[in-house]
Amino acid sequence: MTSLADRLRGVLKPSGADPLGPRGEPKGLAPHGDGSALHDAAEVLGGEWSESRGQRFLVVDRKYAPGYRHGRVALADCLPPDTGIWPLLHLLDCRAALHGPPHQSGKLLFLDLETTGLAGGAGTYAFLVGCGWFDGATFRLRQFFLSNFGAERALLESVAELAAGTACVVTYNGKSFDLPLMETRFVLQRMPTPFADMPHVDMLHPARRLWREDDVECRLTNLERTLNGHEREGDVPGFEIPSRYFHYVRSGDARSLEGVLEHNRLDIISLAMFTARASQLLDDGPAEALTAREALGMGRLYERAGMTNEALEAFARAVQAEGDTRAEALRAHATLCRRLRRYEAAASSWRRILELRACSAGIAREATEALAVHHEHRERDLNAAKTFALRSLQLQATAARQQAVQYRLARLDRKMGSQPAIDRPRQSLFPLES
Amino acid sequence: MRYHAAVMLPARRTDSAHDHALQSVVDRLTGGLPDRADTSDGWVTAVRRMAPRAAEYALFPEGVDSRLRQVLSARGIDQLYTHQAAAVEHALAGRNVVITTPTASGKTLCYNAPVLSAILTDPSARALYLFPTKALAQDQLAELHDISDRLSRLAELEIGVFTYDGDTPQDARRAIRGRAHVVLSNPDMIHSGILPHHPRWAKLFENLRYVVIDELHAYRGVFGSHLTNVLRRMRRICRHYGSNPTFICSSATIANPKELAEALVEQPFELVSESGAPRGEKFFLFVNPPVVNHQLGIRRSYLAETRRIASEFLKRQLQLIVFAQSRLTTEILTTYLKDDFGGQPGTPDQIRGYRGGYLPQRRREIEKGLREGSVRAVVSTNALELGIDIGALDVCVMAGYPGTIAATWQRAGRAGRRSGRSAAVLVASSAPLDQFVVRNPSYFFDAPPEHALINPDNLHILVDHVKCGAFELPFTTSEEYGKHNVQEVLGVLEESGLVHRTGPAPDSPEGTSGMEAGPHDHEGTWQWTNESYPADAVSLRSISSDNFVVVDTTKGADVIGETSFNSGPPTLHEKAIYIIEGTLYQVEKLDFVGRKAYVRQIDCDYYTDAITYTKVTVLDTFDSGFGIRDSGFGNAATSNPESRIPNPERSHGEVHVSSRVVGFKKIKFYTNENVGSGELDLPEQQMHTTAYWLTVPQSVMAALPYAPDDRRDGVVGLSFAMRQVAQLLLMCDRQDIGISIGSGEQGDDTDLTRSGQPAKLSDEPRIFIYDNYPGGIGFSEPLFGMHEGLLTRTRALIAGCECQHGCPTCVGPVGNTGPLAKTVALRILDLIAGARASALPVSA
Repeated sequence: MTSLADRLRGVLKPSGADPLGPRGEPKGLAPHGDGSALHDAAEVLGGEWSESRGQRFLVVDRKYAPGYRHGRVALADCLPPDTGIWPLLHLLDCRAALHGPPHQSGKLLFLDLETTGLAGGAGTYAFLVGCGWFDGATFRLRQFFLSNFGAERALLESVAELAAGTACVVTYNGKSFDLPLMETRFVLQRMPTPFADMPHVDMLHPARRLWREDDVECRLTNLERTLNGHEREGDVPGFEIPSRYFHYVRSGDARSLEGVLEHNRLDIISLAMFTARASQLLDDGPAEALTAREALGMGRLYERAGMTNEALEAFARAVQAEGDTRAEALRAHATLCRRLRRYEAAASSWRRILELRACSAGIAREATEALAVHHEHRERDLNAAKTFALRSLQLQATAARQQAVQYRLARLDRKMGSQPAIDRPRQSLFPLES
Repeated sequence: MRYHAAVMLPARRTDSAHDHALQSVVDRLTGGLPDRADTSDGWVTAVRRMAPRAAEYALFPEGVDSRLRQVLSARGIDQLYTHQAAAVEHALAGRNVVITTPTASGKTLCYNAPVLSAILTDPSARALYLFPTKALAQDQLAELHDISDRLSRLAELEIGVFTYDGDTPQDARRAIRGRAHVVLSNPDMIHSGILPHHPRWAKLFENLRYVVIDELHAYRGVFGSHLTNVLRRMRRICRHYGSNPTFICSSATIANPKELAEALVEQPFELVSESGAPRGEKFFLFVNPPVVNHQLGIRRSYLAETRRIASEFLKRQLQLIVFAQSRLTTEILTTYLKDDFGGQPGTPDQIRGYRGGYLPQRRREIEKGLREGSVRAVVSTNALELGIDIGALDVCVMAGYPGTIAATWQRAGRAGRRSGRSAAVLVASSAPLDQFVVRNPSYFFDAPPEHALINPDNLHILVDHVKCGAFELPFTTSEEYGKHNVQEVLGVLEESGLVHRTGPAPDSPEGTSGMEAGPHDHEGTWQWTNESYPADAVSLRSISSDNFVVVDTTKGADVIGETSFNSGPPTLHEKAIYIIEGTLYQVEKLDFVGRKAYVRQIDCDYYTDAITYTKVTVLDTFDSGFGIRDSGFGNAATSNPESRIPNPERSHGEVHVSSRVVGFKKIKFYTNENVGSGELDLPEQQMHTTAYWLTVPQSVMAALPYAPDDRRDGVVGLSFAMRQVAQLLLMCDRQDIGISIGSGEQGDDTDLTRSGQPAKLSDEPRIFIYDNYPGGIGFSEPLFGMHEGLLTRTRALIAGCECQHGCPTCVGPVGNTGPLAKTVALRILDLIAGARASALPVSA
């Protein structure tokens, strides 16, 4: 009779061979047991052991001087004011933007995790918790490395200690990934979560508004390239990170992790630099925007925080660009003007959209509709309203929307029928198809 | 409609007209003699009249919160039925309880009362309800909301009741996790959505007071084996958060509800089985279609018979459910009844089909139509057997024996009201099991129902859940899980790099591991060290999570159905006819790798039946022995020890099964003529599973005074009959077991079984009855234990059959086997029994 273990191997073989199994070992590493002495992880990774509750984990500390650069950008250019917080930082957080700044001073904590997977759930560990903060003119970075699963509680206690007194935590995609994962780890260890009620800026969303280029994923490394002119060398690709950690777990060989820790450090420094750039830009005003996209993004951030003058200025600046951004900027400008009851200014922007050569059908439709409304209710120029309504009819994609326009046309016809003399005859703006 | 007759039942035509209509059909069918004795050779073989029964009441147990009593009272419930009171008392005292009382006896109150009472007393208390399907959870939600809303107002306490399943919108999930006192879900969601994310559910698991498992009997076989493991994982998590919930289970009538509950939950249970609910008068009829060809033992088609009987009821405006045995027969019967009773073109259908594989929207529409009465008849597979709310119908007609006593009662319970008459009619097919039951009505009416079997320690299932468990919480090096040594399981998982052992090991010195072991740890742990989310790869409904989807290319590409991996090749091979609600489709292409079948609507007058080759090889014999001679065969056998045959005749163990669909037959509707065939070349399907087998010793084979072909027919006929009896004894579905004849030796290709028939017989043939699931699902060992009963009943089935040379009722139709199959099969059984065939009365 076959042993349990043999039968188990038979059961596991079909699934054990596929995605789970062998891709675990990173390439180009000497396997454990080749005779080479294992170096202590602290030595390999340049950190120090921290011991608590009889469990050890590794703490890796780094300091970056003001002269440290990523491409064109030096840390010295990124320092926050003496209060520790940029005055308009809260504009980057959609919740804080509505309620004003939560703290005018205090420590900013830049947080980034490296994990054993992307799936989430109780079995996904944060094996590296990276924290960065400005300390005077230097940038300090502390990484907590889980060298032993049993040390998770002790490690999280240290993280909570460092996080205490933080005015705001800054992440990249932390809303949907890093912070929920931290919460899971703390709850699993039956500890209160230090980040639970902390103000939080997730830079992913403002970064997309300000810097996304067409067809380029808004990753930190892409931003480094386009904004800082910085190209990482030998960066560890994200998908390799869990398997490098598992290799260490099984072999005790930490060499392949040095790259992972460096990757995490670069991510945190970049995160700090982009947060600085976005905050400073908002302080400096739209005139400083380098691209139309950036100006448009700034306008939206101002608008969300109720800073309408700055927003209008930013949109106006973005209008000077070409292409889709221009149409979007005009639309943003028109929408905001309408909200501010500056109807003439709004109508003027809508008209400029229709004069554009290249403009998406969606925006053009919105413009014709808005102009139809404007002429029907504000200008009381029913002919013009009808002209715009007819034009918008051709742009409607769905039956429901077409019907809505038909209602408008019917109403316009009724109004025009009851007062046949049109008050201000005006030449048709657009020739109509028969 | 589950609480109290007087209040909950909507006004219906309890008028005598309805009762009269039903009575007149029953009179027509029985010749006006509803109380006559069983006549096993008649058309209606049995009639049972179940007298109406009055309610038995009991007081509310002490612990029920007064506010809950107030709300129930407002709904007309001032006292409980006796079974409700008993169940509530157990649950409130923290004793696990399983309730088995008939359909519509107020089972939901048995769990809602203690749960709501606990929440009123301690608002932090939480409860989790498990239903086998999402639809059942939705069904319960409406009812629970009604009480909880009233309670919330009265107690000024927001009692949150929510379903949480695959249909719950993402943005609602966080709110539900925070606010739900009662979560209604299904095992699949617990498995893949809740347990792996237990930290998000910390509040629930910290305060989990009750776990309710409704429709417990649904959890047998594969699904039940998975559920046990899901519950094992849940209890690990409860321990982590410091809770220890009480389980309240409800089940249809099965023989071993307490044992099943204890096997699923692995804790002791109290049983409440005496119903105190009232019941209206009910008739139960067995109908056996008459023999039309005595020589071949051919009876009139049971589908035609079902159609006729259903029509009798339909003509008198009675609402009706027809249960068919397979998706195919469901579609055929739907077509027949639509032909007879289809309304005007363009009006809503009054006759509907219903089965698994229909998309949810269509199902909801049919259920609603039944409740509202716009659907007059539904033809369904077992999909409507569970407690989906379709209201109470007047009549249930079963086309063919559902396979188990429990399922038959469950289906019959779909017709029946608290007052007024109802009827259930079982129409037997010519299948042996049907014939056995319909000709031996007391087997059904008087015997205890079957046992539900599970095998949670099936290695395929166990290993999957150990992975999920390790993901959820690290296993400690002293932890136990299931019957096998989980430490050994984890050791093998470590070989694949899925888990990693950390901490001190008793058998290896510290420091060999790369992980720094904590010096104060007395125990090591097994950590999940893989980036996957293991629950995603495990489906609770099957052992392999694979399935085929059916894509209709008639206009565009619509997915119209799906089917399990195992039944893919035999039902979706190229040129197969696939039927959905009476519409015929032909499979144009089977993309085996992509698991898709492309079909197109077609108009034809036949359906298809696949031909499969099967070969079984014995890998390992777990146990073997002789039959027990002293039960069922009298003293003649035991007093003749010298006549014993020296080879073990019964065994069970591990086998390798390979099967391949090699062709198909085209069978004409209505006449069932074979009108053509085709060959197919499909990939072989292989599995390791467990099997029971009967070895027909060489001496028996040699002692048979027949030609080799006749001997072969005898063995084939015997296996045909044994399969039916095994299915009856095991309470399993037909597709749960497979049968094959062969030597069981490796490399012996002469005995490939072609749809039940070996090409050639070995000297010592074996009849294998295997679990049709990888790893086995727990049928083989019990069958090994029931060996003697299996042979006795098989003999009774064959000997009691009226046909001359064999028919589909006993050893299979003559065209399939030879003219002597019946005689030889009986002779083999008698020789095996160790007695001279002539010494045994034929009607043993």
